[in-house]
This record gives sequence, C-alpha cells and structure tokens, in this order.
Amino acid sequence: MKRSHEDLVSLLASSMKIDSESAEKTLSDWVESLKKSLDDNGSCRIPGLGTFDLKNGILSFTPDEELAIEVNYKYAGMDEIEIQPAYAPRSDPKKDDVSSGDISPDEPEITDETELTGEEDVTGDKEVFGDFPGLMDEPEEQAGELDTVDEVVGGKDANKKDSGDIDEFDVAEGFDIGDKASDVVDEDAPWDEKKSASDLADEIFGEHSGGEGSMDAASEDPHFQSPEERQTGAMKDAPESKGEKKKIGQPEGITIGGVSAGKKEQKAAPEEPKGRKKASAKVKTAKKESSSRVWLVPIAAALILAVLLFFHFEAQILDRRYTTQFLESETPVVLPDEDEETGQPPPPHEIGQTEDLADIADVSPGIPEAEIPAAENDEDNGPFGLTGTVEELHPGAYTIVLHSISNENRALIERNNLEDEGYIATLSRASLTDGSITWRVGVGQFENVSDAEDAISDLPEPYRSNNFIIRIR
Amino acid sequence: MTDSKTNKEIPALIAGALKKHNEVQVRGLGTFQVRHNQQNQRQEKDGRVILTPPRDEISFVPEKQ
Repeated sequence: MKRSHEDLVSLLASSMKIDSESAEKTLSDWVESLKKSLDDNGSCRIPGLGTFDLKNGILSFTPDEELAIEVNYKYAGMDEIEIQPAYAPRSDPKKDDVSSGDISPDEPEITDETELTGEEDVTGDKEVFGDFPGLMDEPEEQAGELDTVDEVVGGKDANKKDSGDIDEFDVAEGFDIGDKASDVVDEDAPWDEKKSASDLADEIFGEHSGGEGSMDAASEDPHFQSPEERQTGAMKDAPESKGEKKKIGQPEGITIGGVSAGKKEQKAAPEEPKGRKKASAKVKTAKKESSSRVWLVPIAAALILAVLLFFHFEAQILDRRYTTQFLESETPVVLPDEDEETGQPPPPHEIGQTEDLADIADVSPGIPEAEIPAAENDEDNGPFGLTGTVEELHPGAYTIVLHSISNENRALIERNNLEDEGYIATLSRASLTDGSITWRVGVGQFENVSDAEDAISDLPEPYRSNNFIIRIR
Repeated sequence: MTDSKTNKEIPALIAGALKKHNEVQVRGLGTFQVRHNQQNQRQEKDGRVILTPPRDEISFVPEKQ
C-alpha cells in the first residue's frame, strides 16, 4: 500500500490535531529543515528513522538499526548458511583449478563442453544462483564430465561467454543475464551482432581466430585458451562460429541457433570419445592414487604395531620397576593374633615406595658370602632360621617379607633368587583391602617375632631397612 | 505545536508506515519503501556455497529535482 504525500499530511494532521493546511506546512518545513541540515553538514540523522547522507549531490538514506530490524521482523535472526563446504585441498582438483583460475589439462575440456552445452550453461547458472538450495545438488548427480561442466558453468565465465557484451556480472542479476544469454543463443540474432562480435574478435586474435575457426574447435581449444582468452571467451566464441559458418558456406542470414546447433553436432561427434578417454585417464589416475593409498595401509599398520609393542614392553619394564620394590622402611610387625588381611601395609606402599631397579639388581645377587656360612649355623635350629633349605614351611611361624609383588611370576623369580642365595624363601599370597592381590616374598621362618627381628640385622641392605614380618599361613 | 514534537511525529509516522511495509512518499524528499530480497545462493572462490536468507529492507528513492 502506498502512502502518498497527501495521506501523510492527513495522518500528521490527525495525530497532531491540526488542520491539513498547517500539517502540510509543518511537513514541508520539516523537509526544508532537513535539506538545510544536509546542505550544511552533508549528513542528518533523524532519531527513530535513520540517517540521510548527501554525497556528490546524491541523497542516500540508511535506516536506523531498530527500524530495520522491525521491518525485517519476519526474517529476524536468519543468518547466512554455508550449504556446501569449501573445496578440499586435494580431494577435488577440478574445483581447485576453477577456483584458482589455473588452466590444467582438464580445464579446456570443460570449456569445450561449456561451448557445447551453451543452453545448459544458463540452467547451470540458475542452479548456482537460484532460489532453491536443492538445485545445487543436481549437477553432482549427473555423471561424468557433465558434473564439471555444470559446476564450472555456474560461475561467471559461463555468463561472460554466453552473454557476449556483458562485462560485469552482478550476482543479483543472474537470472536476467542468464535469460539474455539464452536469448542470444536461442533466438535468431541478427547477423550484424555476430558480425560486430567477430570483428572484435578478429581485432583481438587476428589471423589466429580466423584460421582456427575452420578447424575443429574441440581440438584447438584445449591448447589454445588462456585465462585472458577465457575472459574474452564470448568474443572468441562468436568468431569461431562465424568462421566456421563462412567455411561451410552457408548463406548469410541464417540464424545463430541453427548454426550453433549444427556446430554442436559436429563438435559432439569427435568430442565424445575424447571425453571418454580423458574420463578413463582420470579413472586411471584415481586408481593409481587409491593403489598408492592401499600401500599406506600396511605401513600404517606396521607402525601402529611397533608402537603397541614398544608400549607393551615398556609397560612390562615399568611393571617390573614398580612391583619389584621394597616396602616401607618401617617394619610393621604382624601380631600373631592379627588377621593377615587387616595387618597388611596399606596398598600405597606397594607402589609408593619405589626403589631403583638397579639397586635391587645390585643387591639381590650381592649378598655377602660371609653371612651365609654364619647363617648356616642356624640350620642347627631345625626348620627355623634365615638360611638353609626347608621342605615345608610351618604355618604360624614368622617370616621376613622382602618383596611384595603383584606379578606372581615375578614373585616366583624373586623367591628362587633368594633360594639360590641360600635363604629359606617363602612366598605367600595376600589379598589387600582394595581387592588387589599381592605376592609376598620373604626369607626365613622363625618361631617368634623376636627371632625374626634378630635375623633382620643379618640381612644386607636394603633388605635390612625395608622389610616387615608376617606370619606364615 | 513545537519543533521537537514535529521532529518526533513525522519520523514516527514514516517509520510506522514502513513497519507495515507501506510505501511512503514525502514530497520534496523522496519515497521510502520496503523491498523484499529473496533468499539467494552464492558461491565463494573457495568453493563454499552460501545461502543468504530472505530479508525485507528499507530503500529510499530520492525525489528527482
């Protein structure tokens, strides 16, 4: 609905409760004051409406943000949506070529088909710039080279080629230009237009375009077009068709549509096998790429296996390091009536007090030989003592625990080591309060705690200061 | 009738008409109108396809002198 000046005056009169004449005067005064302000300052802001700017004699208006939002209330909050992501760096080289403007060996083929499908170019343009996002998917659904054609044709180049004299392409005017282009192709364009276009092209390309126009355009284009030529593609296309037409000798006055159709057929025949060759070449290259990628799989698998093995062995070493430890320096003596499960040292000691593996390795075999014969005297005490061989351990006797190891095999090894060193070695299984199981490797068996404590002094370091006494069960 | 009241009333009338998507003609100044821009797609150089939403925007056509 249009509100004319008179409507505005009447509205103003009713809102300000004045007669229409004074309302009109008020309005005209307001406009005059606005104009005066614009003349003085070049800009005038009307609160609640917007800002007027006068630049180079042209009056422009920028609405206030609040007003603009209110006017656009239907679509408030709608932002631009990216419906197709950017090209992948290497996944689609065709698109990269298009975007970077480089002319790859594939590119001229695209331009050829662009020429072939002059009318489809317009539809391709519509698909890119049209209103419906769903149309964007259509080019990709088509097979073979046509994909590329439609995608490429959607750009400005197609419009430039088809629309001839249209130098600058406005996105908003995509439809119009597209229609123009189709008009140029489809409708019977007057020969003069073609003539002028060909003259232009002759000026630009000289003999080249004239000579090559008679040749098969499909064979010339791939090696001939450069970016500059692509820009002037429209001009070039026209002379080619014209040159061909001259060669064929058709009478002047025949429509472009007819000629271009005939040309299309001529071109299409030699073009198709070539396109297939290139398509198969592309498939081959794709296969090569995929085969090269296939080789990467076992290499990657081997690498992963190597890493896993490394961590496995490292974990074993760490396990050995952390489990082959000596328990707390204090010697918690388990009383005879105390349950083993409750009298155990807290689990953190199992891991917390870590000793260097090197120290253990140094110490384990390094028990002074002098002590062993001295300890051997204990054999006189029967099955009790620090050293000797005992076939059967006595439940209820006491032993000095030197190792507390979660790995049973490791515990067995330690026990055997101690046995080899001449000790009465004991191995017992203990369940800790946190549910974990530990294997305790001890030396000696004693009738009472005091004997065991006495025997501790006979042990070499670090066993002497890192042990505890438990009861054999 | 004061200038400040006029300065409030006239823009309010124009803005009110524009909010209803009405075209407003002010003699000596120009015509305000609300133009509808349809949703649009454009393709960036990097291959992205951007869907621009529709919008209603105010346009001003200055009066020819």
